[in-house]
Amino acid sequence: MSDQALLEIRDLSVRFSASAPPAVRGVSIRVEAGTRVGIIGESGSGKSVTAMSVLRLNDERIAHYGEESSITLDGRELLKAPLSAIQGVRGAQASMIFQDPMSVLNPVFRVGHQVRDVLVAHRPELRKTAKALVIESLDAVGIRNPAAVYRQYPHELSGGMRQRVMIAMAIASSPRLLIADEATSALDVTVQAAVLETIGALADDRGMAVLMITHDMGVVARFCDYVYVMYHGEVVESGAAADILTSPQHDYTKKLLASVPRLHGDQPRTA
Amino acid sequence: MKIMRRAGIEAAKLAVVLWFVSVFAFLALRLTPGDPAVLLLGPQAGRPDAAETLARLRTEMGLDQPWPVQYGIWLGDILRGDFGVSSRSGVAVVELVAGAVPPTLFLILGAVLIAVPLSIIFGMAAAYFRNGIVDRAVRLVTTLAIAIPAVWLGLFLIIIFSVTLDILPSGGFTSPFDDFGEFFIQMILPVTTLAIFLGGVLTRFVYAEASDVLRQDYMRTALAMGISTPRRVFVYAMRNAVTPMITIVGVQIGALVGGAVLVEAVFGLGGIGQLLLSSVLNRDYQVVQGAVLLTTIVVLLVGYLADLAYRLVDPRITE
Ligand SMILES: Nc1ncnc2c1ncn2[C@@H]1O[C@H](COP(=O)(O)OP(=O)(O)O)[C@@H](O)[C@H]1O
Ligand SMILES: [Mg+2]
Repeated sequence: MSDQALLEIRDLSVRFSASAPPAVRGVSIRVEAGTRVGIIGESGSGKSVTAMSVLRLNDERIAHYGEESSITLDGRELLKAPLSAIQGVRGAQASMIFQDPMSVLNPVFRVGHQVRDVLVAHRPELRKTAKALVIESLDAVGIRNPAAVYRQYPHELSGGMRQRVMIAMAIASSPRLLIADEATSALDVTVQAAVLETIGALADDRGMAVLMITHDMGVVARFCDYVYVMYHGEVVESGAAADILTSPQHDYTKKLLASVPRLHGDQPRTA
Repeated sequence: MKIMRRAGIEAAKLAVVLWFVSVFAFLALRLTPGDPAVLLLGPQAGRPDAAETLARLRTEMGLDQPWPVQYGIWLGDILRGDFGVSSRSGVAVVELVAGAVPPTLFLILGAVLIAVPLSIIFGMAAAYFRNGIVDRAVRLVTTLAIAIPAVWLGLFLIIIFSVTLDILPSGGFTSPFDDFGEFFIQMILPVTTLAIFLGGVLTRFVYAEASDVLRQDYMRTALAMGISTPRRVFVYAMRNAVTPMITIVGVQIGALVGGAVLVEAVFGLGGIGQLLLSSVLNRDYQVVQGAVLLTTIVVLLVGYLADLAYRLVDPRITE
């Protein structure tokens, strides 16, 4: 492996107002190509703000990044690039999917068209064959009868199906990094497991790295190779998922682990 | 089955509304001072020997009957499709109303065609650049457009463009099928007046809807997937913000006709407004009652059509 990781977040600080303390302080996170990295922490610990910084999705009229902060994707500095240049990164080199499958898809457009739009936005030359490609990728994310689903509206699909459609959108132009922010949190346990499995299989197939953000140790146990623990805007502990799960060092991590009654009987993936 | 029941309920509601309107139109004139017979007779009515003539006129017009009887006769005629004749000119009410429809209709169509696209563009832009210069300007202009009565605005435009600058006519109506150029020039000021009023209301509506839509999760998804800003604002957000506009146009059609009636009277276009105004002044009962009822029917029908269109356009509404 080269010493340059696929994604390098260095010393990231984000503040939303001069008076309040920064929402994220001095966070450094590395994601090597093709690996699965988790960020875990309770609600409000700064996970989403950190993840959204990568694609510059925080509202920059109110969010300010620290002078010393740096985020590089494949060696390219993102925090200091003009937003117009980031547009070409979003959905192409790195994609992000979100929680709450109720409203993450546009209610008035057919889901197939929404996926096609993303594909065509990054690969205009594929416009002619886009429909077939989209149906293929709906199939790839585990949607049965993809040609019929192509023509449906979000409200006609179940939560898990909508989440799969969003995944199809995210991988449409084969990004090297997928950021999943609580992407499975709103789903019930069995659907959650199936969607996680789909994301894992796609990642392995394509050599795509995944940054998995969650408040659920079960997801870390099931999915991640490496994990960062965030607390009050800072990374308090990090390490191989198996180590963190079996011998947490930080008190906060111990509490997080204690609050999980049982890890759904799963063994850590890397154990 | 369900649809049949819904249609039945809607028809019953429609009947009740029309009945209320018919009672209102019937009473409004009779409860305000002014005797149709006196007005019809003109200056002669003041002469001492006129009493007999007036009594004869009242009998001819059926005004000597008690109100409930008058109302019953009128309603019975209408249910048979007979809206009566003008007591002044003897022309059938339906004919008078039909003749007055084109100016009012063109006025409304013109205002809608101008106000709808402009309010979409400015409402969306203001919501996207919230608190920016565009937003401030749009808020100021729409506040003025809503606050200034359409009649004042019309008079103001006449003073500037017809009286002072003398570049546009202050009124009149020519059928576009006779002379389109003349029609166009005559419609500029009245259409502008009504479009400003309507545009103010609609821009505010689009702005409120768009502000809400732009905060939705699906807009963040589109941003994260690298969809371009123009496409996000004018396709992704717009479709969501503008679809409800169909209903608002349906709901506002009453206010729009009301505004059109006033504007059209200011500019002397000879439409429904002027017909109503002159008939009220002349106490031409049949014409006022008939025109009010016919206009109400059209307004309600447009409302239903808008509702139907909304159901067709929004995929979330099934049935
Ligand atoms: N748009 C915003 N405006 C102001 N503060 C914000 C905003 N978004 C996040 N924050 C602050 O950042 C902190 C971390 O939020 P977030 O990253 O969403 O937490 P989580 O770990 O639950 O994803 C929150 O406690 C909040 O105070
Ligand atoms: Mg979050």
